[in-house]
Amino acid sequence: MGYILAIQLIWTALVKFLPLRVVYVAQVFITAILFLGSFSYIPKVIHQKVIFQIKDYLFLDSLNILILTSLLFLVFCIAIYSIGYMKKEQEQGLSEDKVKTFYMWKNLFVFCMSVVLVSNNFGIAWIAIEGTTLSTTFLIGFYNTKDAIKASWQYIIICSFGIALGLFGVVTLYFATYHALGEGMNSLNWINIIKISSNLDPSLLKISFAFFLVGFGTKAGLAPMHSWLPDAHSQAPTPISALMSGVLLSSALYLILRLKAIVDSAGLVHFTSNLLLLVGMLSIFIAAIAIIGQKDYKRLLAFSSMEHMGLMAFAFGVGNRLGVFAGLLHLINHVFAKGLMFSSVGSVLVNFHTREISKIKGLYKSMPLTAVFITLGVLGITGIPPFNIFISEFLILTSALDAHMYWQIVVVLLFLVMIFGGFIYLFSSMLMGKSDEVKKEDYKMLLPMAMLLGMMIYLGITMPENMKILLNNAVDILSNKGVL
Amino acid sequence: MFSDFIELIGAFVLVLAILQITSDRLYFSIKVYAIQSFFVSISILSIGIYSSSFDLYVSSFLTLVIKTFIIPYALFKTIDEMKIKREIKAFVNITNSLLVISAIIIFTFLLTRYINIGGSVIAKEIFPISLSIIFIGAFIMVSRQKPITQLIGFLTLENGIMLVATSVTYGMPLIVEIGIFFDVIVGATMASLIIHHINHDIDDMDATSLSDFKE
Repeated sequence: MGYILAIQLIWTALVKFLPLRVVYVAQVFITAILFLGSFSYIPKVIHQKVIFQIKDYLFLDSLNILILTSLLFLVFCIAIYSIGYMKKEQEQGLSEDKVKTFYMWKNLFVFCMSVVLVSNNFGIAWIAIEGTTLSTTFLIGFYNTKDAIKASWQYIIICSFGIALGLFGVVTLYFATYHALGEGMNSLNWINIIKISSNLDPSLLKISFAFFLVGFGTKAGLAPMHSWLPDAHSQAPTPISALMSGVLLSSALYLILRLKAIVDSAGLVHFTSNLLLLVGMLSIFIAAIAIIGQKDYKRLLAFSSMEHMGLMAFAFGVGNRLGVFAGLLHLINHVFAKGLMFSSVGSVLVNFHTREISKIKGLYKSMPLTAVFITLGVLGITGIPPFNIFISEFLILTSALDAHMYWQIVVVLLFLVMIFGGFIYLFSSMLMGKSDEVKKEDYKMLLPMAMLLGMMIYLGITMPENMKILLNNAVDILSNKGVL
Repeated sequence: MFSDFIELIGAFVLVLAILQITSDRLYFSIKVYAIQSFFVSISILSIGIYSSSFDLYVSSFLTLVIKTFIIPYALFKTIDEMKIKREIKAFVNITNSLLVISAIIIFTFLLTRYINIGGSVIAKEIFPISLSIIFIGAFIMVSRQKPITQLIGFLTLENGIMLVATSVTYGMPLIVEIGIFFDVIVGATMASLIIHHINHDIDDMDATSLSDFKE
């Protein structure tokens, strides 16, 4: 997987020096190569369980290959989408140089996320996740409006603060492991730590996990530290919002999961599960309240991401085999669903230049195809069959039923119903009604939506055999059975 | 003996963090931050001499150069260019802040009493000390209105983490530490750039107007 990272880094450096036409096309081809490259690793990972590269700094196992592949698929869709989106923005007077800057930061951002996912080392993963903060700060302030600058300030301060707490968690973890593993990079390598995890000092692991949860939970948009999320998502250019919502949040959660596996096998399952349950339910609650009275549709989707991250945290908090399985499945499903939602409302944004729900009416008249995608996306993301989110939400609730968490299920279901109502009410007011304007819809923006929708329906109806094997292996990894 | 010395240095860093809370002038705050970083670098250097580890020399040198000189210089330059007014606006006044801080310090020392740390540790008391510094940094971030003071709060917090990372163990792996330095310096630069934007485009910007955003 070393070459996946190398290509991304070289491409990031080159973007500024090429003509924009070339960048548009090359971006699509490069992301396609990256996606196929990552996809081609799947049989290998199934066969060998784990692949190391560059000594053992990088690794691929069943858990991160799944997330990496869906990340790169979304990046590919967004690369096509960005052409249409940025061309519309250029018509509105955005300079070519700005567009190139956009591509440069975007590629750096994707590179950092890939490093987070494939890194075997908590130290390097920390550096990379701080890298994602730094590379997206200017993207959030991209339009240089008053609100955008405020949002980027909020973002850099809150996230740096959270990540600094996460660093304290990493330091504490290192403190717990360096007696057993010696000084140096070895003591932060996940594979090494998980092997000796039952000998580690539980009290230090507790502190470490608490700081991890708050620190990386900030990036994952989990409840007490979520306040950067709605502003950042609503101010950033839409392709970036889709990437942030789809994979940035998940890759932060992924790091928490890696640590949870270690802490769990030191005998602290109840501690970690209860914390995740609490944080997850709080996130769903706050998101449900915020969604109902929302006036800005991009903020609405940002809160919806928070809801889904909360659901995943809830699933991992339930912690039985089915729960972890459902949580991972939900993580992957959410990538496609949120990608579709952001790209479809993004087309509305570039055509109407307002984020206010009340100012948009009659999308079925003005942008009929996009409106179809929005409708299907809304149904998908709120958990209606036959879309994939339904399957994973259903499994999450079933797993909670298996664990005898009755009142938790009732509460979560209640919030989900609230969110469903809010979504349907707010989006139907945008879709229905009269409109005189007819906007031209760009096929470059419709094609990625169709691809994402296709994935949503495909995963809703069936599950590929390889994916099932990978998910089951990943559950084994997280419950510390058969890591190697 | 040696652990006492390290703990003494740690105590200086903590005192400087408390001094940071009482400061109501920006220039003074930045100077306090520079001196604090200087003490952190001394602490790292002495552990480096004690354990004769090359990695710690490097990280001490980087702390000295980046945090004692480059970042304070950049901050001075920013506030000179911006003509930011001298006084620091705070949501919580200094007396109350000090009360909160003393509660924080007592709390962290109590908290870490219950953790029995196994194995050989260089300086045990550094753990609660740096935890206090981290919380004090966080408190500065939430209780001050000006963006630049929030940045100073963040840097103070980062110093606390640096202190614990080097004084409890023999330092994190060198690659990780260099990465951390890199991130801090880039983060601080970007933050001052945004402060520049804020001052340029938004007239009376402070943290209170950040809460304009409605749910």
